[in-house]
Amino acid sequence: MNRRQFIRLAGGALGLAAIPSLAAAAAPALLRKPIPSSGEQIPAIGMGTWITFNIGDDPLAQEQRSEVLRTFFAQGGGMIDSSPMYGSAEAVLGELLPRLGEQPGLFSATKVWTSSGDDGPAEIEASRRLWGVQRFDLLQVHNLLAWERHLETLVDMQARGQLRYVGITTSHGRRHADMLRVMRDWPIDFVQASYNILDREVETEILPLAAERGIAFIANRPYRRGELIDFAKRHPLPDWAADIDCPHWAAFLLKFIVSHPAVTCAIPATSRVDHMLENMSAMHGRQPDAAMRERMARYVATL
Amino acid sequence: METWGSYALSDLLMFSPASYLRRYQLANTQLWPGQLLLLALAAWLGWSVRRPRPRAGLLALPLLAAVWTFVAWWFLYRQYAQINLAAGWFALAFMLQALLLMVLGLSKRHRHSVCAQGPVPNWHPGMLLFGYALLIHPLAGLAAGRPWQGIELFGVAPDATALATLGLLLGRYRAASWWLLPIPLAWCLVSALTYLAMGQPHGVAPLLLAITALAATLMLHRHGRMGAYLR
Repeated sequence: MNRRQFIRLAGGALGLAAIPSLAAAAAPALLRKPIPSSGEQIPAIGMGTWITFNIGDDPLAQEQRSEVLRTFFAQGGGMIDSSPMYGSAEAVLGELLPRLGEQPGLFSATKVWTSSGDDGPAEIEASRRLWGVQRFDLLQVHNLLAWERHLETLVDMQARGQLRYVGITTSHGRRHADMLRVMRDWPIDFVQASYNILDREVETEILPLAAERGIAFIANRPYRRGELIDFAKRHPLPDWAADIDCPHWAAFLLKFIVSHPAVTCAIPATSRVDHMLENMSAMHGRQPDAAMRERMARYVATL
Repeated sequence: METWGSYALSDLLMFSPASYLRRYQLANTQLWPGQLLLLALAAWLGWSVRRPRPRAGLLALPLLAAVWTFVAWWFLYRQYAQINLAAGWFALAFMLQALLLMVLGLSKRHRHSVCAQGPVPNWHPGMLLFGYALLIHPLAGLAAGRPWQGIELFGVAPDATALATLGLLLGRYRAASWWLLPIPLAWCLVSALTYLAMGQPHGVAPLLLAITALAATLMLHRHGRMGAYLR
C-alpha cells in the first residue's frame, strides 16, 4: 500500500465516521466532510455559480452577490465552484472576493472547458488570473470534454504543486459510463455529478465506486436549477422533518444529499442572501440516517 | 456532441432573466440622451419611405447600416457578450448585416432603382411592422413589467432594430433586398428561443410579427400580379 492509497483509506474511514448512524443522533455544529485522498475536512455545503454569478459588470447585481458571498463565508462556507463556461462568473468572483478581505476558508474550484488539450493550460491560467488566486484548490475537467488530455495536464500540475486536487464533472445524468471508467483508471480526487432527492442515478454505481476508490463526490443541481425546490415549496413540509432539524425545504433537500456517506459536498447556487442562509443551515443540527433518507425520498416522490 | 440533443432549451441558458433585462437598463442608462437622436433618425427613415426623394432613399440604407453597427457594438458586444458567450458571434452577424446594407445602399443598381422607382406597392405590412418596432414594442416591454429604463428601443436593442429594418426592407426596398432578410429574421428566431428558455413565451411575438409581415407582403404582391394579369 502506497502513501496515497493509505491516505484515501484513512479519509474514507473518517468520512464514514462523520455520518450519524441514527436519525436522531446529535451531529456536529457544522457538518464538514473529508476529502478521502487527503483527509482534509471541508464544509458539506458549498456554492455553485452557474447563472447566478454571470452578471458582468452590473454594479447593482455585484453588490447583491457580494452580500451573498459575505453570508456564505460568515456561515462557514468553503467551496465555490465555477467554470470558464459560466460566462462572466469567474471574473465576477475575482472582482468580489477581494472586497471581502482574506477568506481562509475559501476552497477554489473551477474547471477546464475546451475541446483542445493544447489550449487547456492557457485557459487554466486565464481562470487563475480572473479569480486572483495563487493556485486552485480543485481543477476539474468540465463535462469530460477532451478529458484524457486535460487529465494529463491536471495530474502534472498536481505533481508540480500547482494544484491541490484533480477532478472530473458531468451533469444531468450524462456520460456516467465514461465517468466510471475514469474513476477506475485515473488517480483523481473528486468527481462531480448531478444528485438530488429525485435524480438518484449516481447511487447505483458512481457513489459506491467513489467510496471504494476514495474519491470525493460533489453534488451539482441539488435543486434541479431551482425547479425542484420551487415545486417542493408548493407542498407542506412533513411534521417529521423536525426530527432532523429541517425547518424548511432547503434544509430538507440538502440534508438528503450531504448525509449520503459517499457525498462530500453539495453546491447549490443562489443570488439571494435569504436563500444562502437557508442553504447553509443544512450543515447544522441532526442529519438523516439511511432509513430516514428513504422516507424523505418516498415523501417527495408522492408530492 | 452526442449529448447535445438531450439538453432542454432552458439547460443552455447561461444567464437569468433579471441579468438579461439589466443589460438593457445599463445600455439605455449609459447612452441617454443618445436615444433621442436614434428616434429622430428612425422617424426620418419612416418618412423617407413614403415621401421619397431620390436623395433621401439613397441615404437611408447607409444610415441603417450605421445603426446595425452601433447595435453590434453598444449592446451585443459591450453588454450582452458579458453574460452570453455566443453574443460575440451575434455581434459579427450584425456587422455583416451592416456591410450588406452598405453594399446595397452604394450599389449603382440600387441607386438607379430608388431614383426611378419611388415607393413600392404593397408597402403596408412592412410599414406596420416598422411602426410596431418603434412604438409598440417598447411599450409592450413596459406592459410586461419592465422598468422604463429597460425598454427596447430602435438603435439600441437588437429586436427593435431587426423588426424596424425588416419593415423598411419590406415597405421600401423589397425588390432589391431579399438577401438582406435572413439575418434580421435569424435574430428574431434567436431572440424568441432566448425568451422561451427564460420561460417568457411573450418574447416570441417579434418573430411571429416578422413572419406575418413577410407573408402578408408576399401574398399582396402575388395577388397584385394576378390582378394585373386578369386585367
